[in-house]
Amino acid sequence: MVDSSKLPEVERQHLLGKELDPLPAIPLAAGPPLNERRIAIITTAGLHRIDDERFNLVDLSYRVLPVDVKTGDLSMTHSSVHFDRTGFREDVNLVYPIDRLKELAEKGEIGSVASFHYSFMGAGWPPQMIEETAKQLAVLLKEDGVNGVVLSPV
Amino acid sequence: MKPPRFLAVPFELGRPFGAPNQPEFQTRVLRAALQLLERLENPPILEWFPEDAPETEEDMETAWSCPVSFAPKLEVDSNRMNQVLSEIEQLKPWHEVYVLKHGRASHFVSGLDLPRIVRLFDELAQGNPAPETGSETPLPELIRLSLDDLRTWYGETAQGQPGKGSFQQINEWFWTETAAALLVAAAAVALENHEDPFLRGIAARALVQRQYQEQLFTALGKK
Repeated sequence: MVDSSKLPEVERQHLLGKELDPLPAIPLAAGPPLNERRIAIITTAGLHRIDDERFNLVDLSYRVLPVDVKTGDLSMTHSSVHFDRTGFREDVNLVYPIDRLKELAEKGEIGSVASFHYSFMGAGWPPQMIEETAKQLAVLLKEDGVNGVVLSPV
Repeated sequence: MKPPRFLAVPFELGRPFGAPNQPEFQTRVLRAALQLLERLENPPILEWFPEDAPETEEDMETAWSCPVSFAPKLEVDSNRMNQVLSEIEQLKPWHEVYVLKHGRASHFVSGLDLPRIVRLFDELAQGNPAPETGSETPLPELIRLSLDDLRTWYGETAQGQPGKGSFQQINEWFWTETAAALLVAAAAVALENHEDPFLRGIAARALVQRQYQEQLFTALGKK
């Protein structure tokens, strides 16, 4: 999560001005050690396979990123004009560190990499608007045996 | 908001894992985030990642500036499209260098080619509320996807040029030194009066980056 002090002031004020109700604090559940966990990445970078449906300007849906999709076959159709995309063009791992995750699995630092990962188009939607979708996604993650998720906000 | 665990990072927006082509650094960020999974104290659990994103030796040694000098921007609306097309012609060799370096160019998400994208923004800037695009994509979507493609192409030309421009430099160059940005801003100004509130919203929030709006709109004579 980016430090807001690094943003241009007008952008910083825009983000700080968003009114969001605090989410209830839910006690954390214990799980296996990290080297036994199956990890998925969920990014809000607006990523999808090139031949997949683009994200719309107002879009609460997600796209599936199979673990074996080549990073060069990914496209970004995030609606925000306010963040840098040059880095993504050079290296998708900047927003979707799938290669890094696979390397950690090979080293035994995590148990395994999920078969499916996911991207939303994060344009600052209030969490309540996306709650139902998130619940659907939780079912899919469980079916994939995932017990740890890295959220990559963009 | 109270996410269960989060790793605060000192990186720019759009770069949650630090810097491109820096696998060891990215791994340290990812590892720091994953290690939070093993902590169970009351949420939210917040950690600060202590390292700044690395700069490459290339960043430090070679200053970047666009080697192409553009003619002073004309104010006359009817010349704006030609000016952008001329600008694109001057930049094309650098785009070809980018493609050679990287093996490919980014896929255009709008489905339009560059001249059609420029024509779209020009027609909008001239007050045409419903330009013919030949695309089945609804106009609001097509506008923002076309802007994506335009910025992507310009960004790639900058990345094909000598030196290693930081993304801030490349972004600043696009918005403050190109006729393309001025054309986009002119389209945004024209769309402010569109009968479709959705398009008016796009004009206000999704075309010109906020920190450059005042400068560009002032250049266009908008008060």
